[in-house]
This record gives sequence, C-alpha cells and structure tokens, in this order.
Amino acid sequence: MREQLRRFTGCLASRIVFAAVSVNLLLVSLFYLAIVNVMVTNLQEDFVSTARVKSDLIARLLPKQMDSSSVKTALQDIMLAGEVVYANYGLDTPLLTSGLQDSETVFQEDFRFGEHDDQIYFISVPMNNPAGADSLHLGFSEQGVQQSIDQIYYNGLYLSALYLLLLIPLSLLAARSLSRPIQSLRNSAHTIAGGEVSARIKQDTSIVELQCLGEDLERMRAALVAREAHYAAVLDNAAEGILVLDDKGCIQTANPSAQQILRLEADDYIGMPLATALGMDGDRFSGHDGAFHLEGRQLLTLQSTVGDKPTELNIAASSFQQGGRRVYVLLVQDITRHKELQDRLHFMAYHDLLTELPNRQQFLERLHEAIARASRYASRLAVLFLDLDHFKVINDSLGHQYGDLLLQEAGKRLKECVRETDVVARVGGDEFTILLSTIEQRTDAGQVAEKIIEAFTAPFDLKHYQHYVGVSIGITVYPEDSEDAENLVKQADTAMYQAKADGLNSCRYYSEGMQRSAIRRLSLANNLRNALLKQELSVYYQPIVGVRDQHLIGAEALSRWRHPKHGWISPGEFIPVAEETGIITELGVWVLKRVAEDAASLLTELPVLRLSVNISAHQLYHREFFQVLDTIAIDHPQIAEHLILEITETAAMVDVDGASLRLARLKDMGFGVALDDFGTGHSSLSYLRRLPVDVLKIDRSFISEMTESNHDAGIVKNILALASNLQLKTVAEGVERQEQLVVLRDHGCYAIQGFLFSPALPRRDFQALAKRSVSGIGLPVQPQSSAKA
Amino acid sequence: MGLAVEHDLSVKHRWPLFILLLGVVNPLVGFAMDCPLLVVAARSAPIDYLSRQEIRRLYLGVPLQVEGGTLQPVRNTSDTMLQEVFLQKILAMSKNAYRRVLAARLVRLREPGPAEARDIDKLIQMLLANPYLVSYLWKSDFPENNELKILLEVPCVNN
Repeated sequence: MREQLRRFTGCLASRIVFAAVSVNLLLVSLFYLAIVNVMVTNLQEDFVSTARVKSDLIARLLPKQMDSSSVKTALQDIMLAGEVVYANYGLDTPLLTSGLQDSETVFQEDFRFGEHDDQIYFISVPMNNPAGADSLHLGFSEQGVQQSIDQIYYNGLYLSALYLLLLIPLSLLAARSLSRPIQSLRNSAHTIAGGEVSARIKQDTSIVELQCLGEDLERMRAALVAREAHYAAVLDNAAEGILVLDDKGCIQTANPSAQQILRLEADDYIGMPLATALGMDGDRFSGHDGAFHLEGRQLLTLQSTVGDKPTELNIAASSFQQGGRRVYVLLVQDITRHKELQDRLHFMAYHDLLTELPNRQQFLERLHEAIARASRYASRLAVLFLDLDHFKVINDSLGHQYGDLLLQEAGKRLKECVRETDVVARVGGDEFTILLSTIEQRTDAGQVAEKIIEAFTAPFDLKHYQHYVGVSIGITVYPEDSEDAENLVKQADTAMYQAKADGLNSCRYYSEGMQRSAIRRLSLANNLRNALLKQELSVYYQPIVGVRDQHLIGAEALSRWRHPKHGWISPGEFIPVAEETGIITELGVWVLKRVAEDAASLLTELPVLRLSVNISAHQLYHREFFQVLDTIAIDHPQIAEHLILEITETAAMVDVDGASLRLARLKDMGFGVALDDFGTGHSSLSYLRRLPVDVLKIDRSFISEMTESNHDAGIVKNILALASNLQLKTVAEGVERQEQLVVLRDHGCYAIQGFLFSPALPRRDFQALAKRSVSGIGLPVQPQSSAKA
Repeated sequence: MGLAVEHDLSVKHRWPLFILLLGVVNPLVGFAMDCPLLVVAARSAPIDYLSRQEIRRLYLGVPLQVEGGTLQPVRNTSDTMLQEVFLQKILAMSKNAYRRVLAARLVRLREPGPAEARDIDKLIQMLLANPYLVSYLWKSDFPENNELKILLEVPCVNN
C-alpha cells in the first residue's frame, strides 16, 4: 500500500496534477481575494457615496421651520422608499422602519461600511439650524449591499471550486497526454533493454521535447542495432568459439564457431551444461561447494571427446557480474589443427619432405645418441655418405619432377638395404647418409655399401622410363675414424668424393689421405675459375689414326691445366671438380671456342682433319649450349663438319629421348656426333638406334684388357660388329700396344686413339705431326715406354 | 491615532499592498477619533465663518471670493479618519466620488485639485503663510497660540 502510494505520488501524472492544482489554487485564491475585494469595496464605496449624497439632499430639503409633527411626516415619507431605515431630527424617539426594534437600534455614526455590526449605516448631517436640532440622523440599511457582497463571495467560491474541480480532470488529461508518449518511449526503451531492438521507436506526440527524446532514442536504437550487428558479425565470423554461460555453467549463447567446435545442435544447446557439451563428467567444473566454478581468467587445455573425434580445446574463461548473477564468457579454440600443424612442423623440422626420410638435423641427433650408446657398450657404428651419380644430369635433362621421383625411389631402396634400427637420411640434393647403429666389424659397413650398390644396378622406373643411376658411397667407422658425430659425417663425405673420383658407383672407406685429397679438391675448386681467366688452361690434341693406313684422320681435344704452383693437374682430377662446382659449363664453352679457333687455322693446311670435343651432360642440356654453337658457326662458317662433339654413353642414356633430340639438332647444324666411353653405360640396341651418332668410341677399359680377357675381347668384337651393322664408325680409345691394334684392325675397327701412336700434344706439336701425316707419312708406332710417358 | 491606512498612495502602489494586507488587516475595524472637526484658517484670514455649503463648494472647485482675494482649500491628508469625517460631514461624498470629481476637473478644466498637507505642522505653516488658505483638522490638533481661527466646527459622534 505504501509502495503503491509512493509510486502514485511519484508518477509524472500525479505530480503534474498536484502541481497544477497547487498553482491554480494559489492563483485562484489570490484572484478571488483580489477581485472579490475590489468588487466588495466598490459596492461599499458606492453605498457610502449614495448614503452621504442622499443624507445631504434630505438635510437640504427639510424645511428650516418645521414642527415635530411635520418633521416626523416628512421623514416618514422619506423612509417609505425603504433605503432610509432610521431617521431622527429633533424627535423624542427616532423613526424606524418596520422590523427594527427601538431597543436594539442605537445611533452610532459610521464612516465606513459595516463599521458597526448593526447592518445600518448611520450618518449625522450637521444642520446648522439654530431653530431646530443640530443634526439630522439618518440610517441606511446595509443589508442589500451586504447580500450582494455575500453573493459575490459565494459565487466566487463556487466558481473557484468549480474551476479547481474542472482543473483536476483537465490536468489529468494534460498529464496523460504528456505521460502517454513518455510511457510509450519508456516501453520502447524497455523493449530495447529486453534485447528486442528491431522495432522502430514510435513518436506519436506533438510535444517537441518528447519528439526530440524519441528521435534521440531512435538514434540510440539504430546505433545499438548497428553495434549489435557489428558484434554479431564479429561473433559470427570469429574463428574462436565464444560461449556465454550462466552462473550454473549452462550455455546461454554460442557463436557459430563454438557450435562447430563443440558439435552443438542449433536448437539444443541453450541451457546445456558446459561439461555435457564437452562430453565430460558433470562435476568437472564444480567447486568445493558443488556449484559451477570457473572463476577468473584462466586458460584450460582440455583433452575431450566431442562427437566421434577427439578434439583438443583451449578454453579461456572470464566472468563478470550481471544483474546480481555471475556470467561466464568462454573463448574456445579447437587446437587440434594447431597440434597437427605443430606435429607437422616438428616432422618438417626433422624430416625431408620429399622422401620423408630423416633430415640432417635428425640424423645428427640420432648419430649423437648412437655414439653415446656405442660408447657406453663399447660397440662400433658406421656412417655411410651416399651420392647419386649423374643425378644433376637427370634433373637437368628430365626435369625436377623425375629427379624427385628418383630420389623417392632411391630412399626406398636404401631403407630396404638396412635394418630397422639403422637410420637412412637425406641430407642434401642427391646426398643420403646412413647410420649403421651397430656393426661387429669394420667390413660390415662395406658389405652394406656393396648391397646398396647392387640394389642400384636395377633400373629406376620413373613413370614411363627406366633409368640407371649409380651411387658413390663413402664409409667411416666409429670409433676408429672419429668419435665425433659431425666429423664422422664429414669423413664419410670425403670418402664418398674419393669413390666418385675413383670411378663412380663404388664405395670407399675413409682414410687420412682422403682428407688431404678433399682439401686439395677444395683448393682446386677455388682456383679453377681463376685459371680460366689467367689462361692457365690449354687444349691438347690426341691424334686419332686410321687403323688401315695409320694416317692421321683427326684428334680429340683434351683440356690441360698447368697450375703455377702445383704444376700439371690431371683432367681426371679437375674435371670432376669442375662438374661439382658447375664450372664445367664455362670450361666446356671455353674449350669449344678454343678448338674452333684451332680448327679454323689447322684446316687451312689439313682440310680433311676432324677434331673431337668432349661435351659434358651439363653442357648438352644447358640452355645456352646451342647459342654458343651458333656463334661458333657464324664466326667459323666451314668449321661445323670438321668438329665431332663427343657425349658419353652414360650421359646419353639418362634421357635417351632428350639426348636424341639434342644430338639430332647438332647433326642438323653440321656437327659430327660421337658416343664416348661406349660400353660402360646401359645402352641397348634399341636405344643406340634412336641416337643419331656417327661414331662409337669404345671405352679404354675394354681395350686395355682385350688381349688378356676373352670377355673384354668379346665385348669389343660385339661393339665393332654392332657398329658395323649400324653403319657407324668406331674409334678405340686407350690403344697402347701393337697387339691391340692388330685385334682391332682384324675386327674392322675404323680408327684408334692412344699412346701407341701419340699422347695428347700441344697445338703446335699436333700441327707439326699433322703436316707430316698430310704429306703421306703415316704416324709411327711409339715405343711403349715413351708412349706411356 | 489607532490603526490608520494611508489612502493617498497611488493606485499603482496600492493594489499590491492591498492584496498583501487582505485577510491580515481588516479595514473595517472600528477606530477612535478626536471629534469634533474644525475648519480653520489663519488668524489673519479675511473671513471668520464659512458655512458647510460654502466649504463644500470651495473643496469642489467653486471659487469663493473674499475681501482681498479668493479662498483656497487645503486637504489635510495626515489622518484617514479625518478625511472620511470631512467627506461625510462637509462634502457629503464618498472618497471615490470626490476623487472622481477632482479627476474630472483636472481633465476638463485643467484645474488641479486642492493642495495637500500630509503633516499637521506643515499644514499650519501653510495656513499661516497664506491667509486665504482654508483647511480642516481635529480639534485636538488645533494650536493654542491663536495663530489660527475656527471657521466652522463640525460635531461628530462615533462611539
């Protein structure tokens, strides 16, 4: 009751009514008193004025000489009109109008209306009549005026009361007209506060201030809508799940990310306990008192099973008070992907992505562990460093796609060759390392290396092609060679280089001497580039002699390096270095240009001479190779048919189709093409037929043993027969003995090259030799001792 | 003199005061007076008597020639009751009626009304200074040094 009264007295309408009534009551009272008093005063003034005038007139009209009877008669006549109710002029008893009692009517002169409470206005008029009385006493009735005055009072009160009575409903109406739009605005604000912000705020009022208030509220609502849309967009598009929980830990709101992360059904999750949503025990988030407890801002990493998939969640909780209750806001992150990426990153950090083998980092860590183990158990371990032979050629010719396939296949073969406990790692482009974690004897590592080399003899199936790739392996053994992991790898690398230098597709154990060789190779690599600029390199020519008449028919250009400090450096030493460092391309171009220039001058005297130049696989597949040849052809127009470009069989077999196209282009340009080191590769008859070559150069390894080995002799004979069938010329390399010449001649070899006739000669010596040959003199066979020297 | 209300305030000042005093001061409350009322002039005035009608005419603007000049009325506004008695006994008019007459003469004839004296001493000074001035006062205020003379004595009985 008291609250209702307080609300009633506190509401706007009642206050307006109260204020209006109060103000009007005050104003009405003032106006009432003012107006009524003015009217009353005027009435009284008029009455007094009339009474005075009339009493004066009566006094004047009364005759001076009258007896009392006449006076009485005259006064009675005057009183007949009723205004004068009392009269006396020298009479014993005053004359009174009917109704007045003599005893109650006592003359008391009035100078103001109602001065005496006798309802009669008495006037005493001086007569100055010596014969009569001194004064005339008259009394005028005040009753009529008093009634009028009373009427005025009553009417005023009545009208005032009526006005106030009318004022209350009117002010109520006015208050309602004011409070209704305010209430409407309040309802709108209440609706907005309740979360419903879509309805526009109505402004059904003509009150400017309320219109402005309504407009301001509408602007606030619009701003709220915009802000809500903004926050909704943020919530809807937030990558993090956002949950709002009540004080009991039940979900009130969940954004789409949260629904997705927790697999919440759109209509089901409202009111769902958090633990249920996470598929956990109900008391997972209960405090000591059993109530929901996730106080403060904290990070929780929960391993929970949501749906059918284990999900790792990262939950950050914060809370605040709202309406006397605690509200929790949770940021939920699905870090499963993050963890996967972390694992992936870890895998990437420790693995080679192409082969999925351990990388150098992991290999070294595993090697450290193995060394520690080996040290503890006094056992041995071995490190193998492997490099694929001619892998760069495959990459250059077939492209990286095939190179990658080869590496993957190579990795698989390597893993098949070792135990589960061993580690195969890819540590570089075509470099692999193997940790043989435990070996009994030093030779065990060599056996594994041989097993690997054997495994690599089988061709690699790269999509539609088969390719042969050899592998060079360096071996180092703990603890004999070194007890340091990095050093072991380095030593194995050095041994691998030695294996390559010794003829590819082989393995070598590390030795102290290898280290010196490695240092020398490094030194050579550093000096080789400068050697070209400083003209330390030169071209020698080894004559090629016709088998039948032993006349000079050509020569093979061979590069030579005379180091100012180290003296002559063998091509077998610096050519591999040039290939490793990439200088081989630059060196090849230099040799080509030099030979072209020499040929141009030699051909003026020896027009039938043909000079052979070795072309490396790098050169053949280099993008600028044919531009160099074009330049040479332009500079020396007649030179092409006198140049034979030699490419090794192995290089040609890497990509038979690619090599075939390039060799055909060389032939189109007019150059002759020879297949060098024939017999060492894996060419077949079908491949050989596809290659547009003019000459087969039989590898020196077969020639050197052909007189002692029936096997090699058979190979040479077969090659010669093959060449004959294919109508190819043959050149036997490395012919050093007369018996070899005889056999080759007997089996139809076209030409020979070797120390039997001449080593490689400087250009000037070769030119002199050539002149003698042109003059019809065949080249003499060299004594074996001098030839080899 | 009892409760006395200044009635000669201008209208402008009177209404607010009147309103403020409404309900607080009843103007109809009875009051005492020092009857009778005397119409007086200076001892050196050329007349010794004026009738009630002569005084009335004099105060209503009718010139009254006497020996050596014209009599001039002076209103004694020192006492409200005195004025009421004078208005009733001599002029036979109400206060408002007399004010209207004076206002009409001022408007029509450009004649100012009678001079006013708000203080008895000042009134006496004025009368002594001009023998043609006539005024009125309570008998109790009449000076005893014979400087003035009574032209008419008007008795009145109030209580």
